[in-house]
Amino acid sequence: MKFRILLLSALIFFLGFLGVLTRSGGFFVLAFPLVVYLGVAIYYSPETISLQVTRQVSAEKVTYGKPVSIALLITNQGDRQEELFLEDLITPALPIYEGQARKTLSLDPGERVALSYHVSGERGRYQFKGVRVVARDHSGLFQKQELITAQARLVVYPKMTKIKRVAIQPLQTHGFAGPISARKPGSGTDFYGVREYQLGDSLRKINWRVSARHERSYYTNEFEQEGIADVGLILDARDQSDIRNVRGSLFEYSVEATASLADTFLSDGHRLALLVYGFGLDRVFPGYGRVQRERILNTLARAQTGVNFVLESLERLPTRFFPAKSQLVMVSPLLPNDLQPLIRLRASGYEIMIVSPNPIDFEASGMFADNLIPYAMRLAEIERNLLLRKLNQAGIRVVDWHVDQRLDGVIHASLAHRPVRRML
Amino acid sequence: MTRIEKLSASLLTAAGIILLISFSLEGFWQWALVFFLAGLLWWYAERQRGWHWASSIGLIVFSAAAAAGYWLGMQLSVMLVVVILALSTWDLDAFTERLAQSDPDESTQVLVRGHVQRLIIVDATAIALAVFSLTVELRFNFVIAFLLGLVMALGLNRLLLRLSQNNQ
Repeated sequence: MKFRILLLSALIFFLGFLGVLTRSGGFFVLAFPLVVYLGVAIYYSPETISLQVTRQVSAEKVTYGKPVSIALLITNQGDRQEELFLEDLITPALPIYEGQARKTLSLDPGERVALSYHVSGERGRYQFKGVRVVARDHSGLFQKQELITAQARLVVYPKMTKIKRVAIQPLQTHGFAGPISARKPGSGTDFYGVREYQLGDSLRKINWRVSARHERSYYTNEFEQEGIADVGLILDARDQSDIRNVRGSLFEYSVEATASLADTFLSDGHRLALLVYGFGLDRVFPGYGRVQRERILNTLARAQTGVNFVLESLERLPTRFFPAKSQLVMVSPLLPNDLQPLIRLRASGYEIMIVSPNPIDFEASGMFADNLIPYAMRLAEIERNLLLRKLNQAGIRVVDWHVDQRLDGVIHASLAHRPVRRML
Repeated sequence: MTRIEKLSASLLTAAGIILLISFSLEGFWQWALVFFLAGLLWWYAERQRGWHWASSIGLIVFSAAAAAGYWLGMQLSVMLVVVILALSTWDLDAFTERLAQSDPDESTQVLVRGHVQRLIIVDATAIALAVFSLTVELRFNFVIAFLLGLVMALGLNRLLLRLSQNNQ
């Protein structure tokens, strides 16, 4: 804008100078349109911006892919604005797919204008700061700029897929009824064994076939107690275990898997805790139900990978955060030096399951065709298979997830072949 | 092509043709060709994204051409029309650039109408002032004219300084 003012002034000076130099009024006459133009611009130059902005967001927390509508109502509480440019400052991670977040218009005193648009964004926590307002005179030579705050927050939860019940085998369960076989008699549905009849046993539970073989004694059927378990979800957010290519980030798949598993475990009634291990230790303490689901999804919404030299290895995994003998489910692409810490964790009394998004396939899919790539992939696959086999041998169940496949199918196919539990 | 762009192109074409005819009739056909080519270049730049600087160069060239035309003895009223047309084209180019920042809707149409009306008023006022100044004749000696020019320059300079401070 300054350049345009300077240009106009320079032209006026130039023509005026020629007029003085040649003592000819014609040059002054030629400068008249420029002078009038500049004069009118000065007269109408914006003095103050007095706008009131109110923002309405259709939802503060949404699931992935769900659109959110944002409406802004702008009221002019001051003088007439000749030309106003309004722009709602939104992050590029929230692309607009309908409507517009910018508008150029003129506003009379007291006049209102609405700005509405729909966004649908990636997982994350977003903060709407305000509206950038640029007031100009009609020629655009003079302008005033202000940021009018109209704050709001939006949390987009990670993508989730429905997973059927995951067969976990924790070493210990809670007393409350749940889906896990507790390996002790109780009020379940699966047959556990028989014992001698005790006073108070229901007659319907008497095993007549066994009782018939004994004189003067009766035997009662026992059923296996089914309880809920303590489950600890660990999301690997270490920067070195993430892979980024044209398809995106492998970490996003890990987050998706973690959210899906969290939803399944909480639906089954388990007590669930979450630990995001990477840049820092972002955690959600153990809990049940919908509120816990909300807490976990909130944490996953803001989860980011990062470099922390202290947390480069899984050695620093805070095991005290998870109850002893509980089930740990780790979502990680796995690094070669993760083997020993995981074996030690298993030895300290945790039942461990790993859902591992396959980094080799993911990385190869984003590469250009090259003769050496198949060899490199083959070597990497051998190395990874060896790591997974060692983990299996240590009694850690591993789900090798090629991210193109459905997670539900992969988990159930992998867990159908349970490894022999090995005592450590 | 929007209405504003069409209007801008028409004004530019008119200014270019006026310069071409005026300079050719006076026998300066080489300069006529140069100015016409400058007009064509300006017209081409209007259609290119990010070439908005060309519009300012166009205004300089056309204003200089008008001044040269007047100096070479061409009619002042015709040269005044050239300056007004070039100024209007320059203004509409900048306005188009500002409008491109947002998608057009109903409120944009109102804004466009208001802008064009304001521009017509400015142009009409300039013409009226010019006509008035041509009918009234005041004679100054060089010293007074020089002093008046100096006062004008200083006044304008102070005004611009204050405005730029306000803008900051």
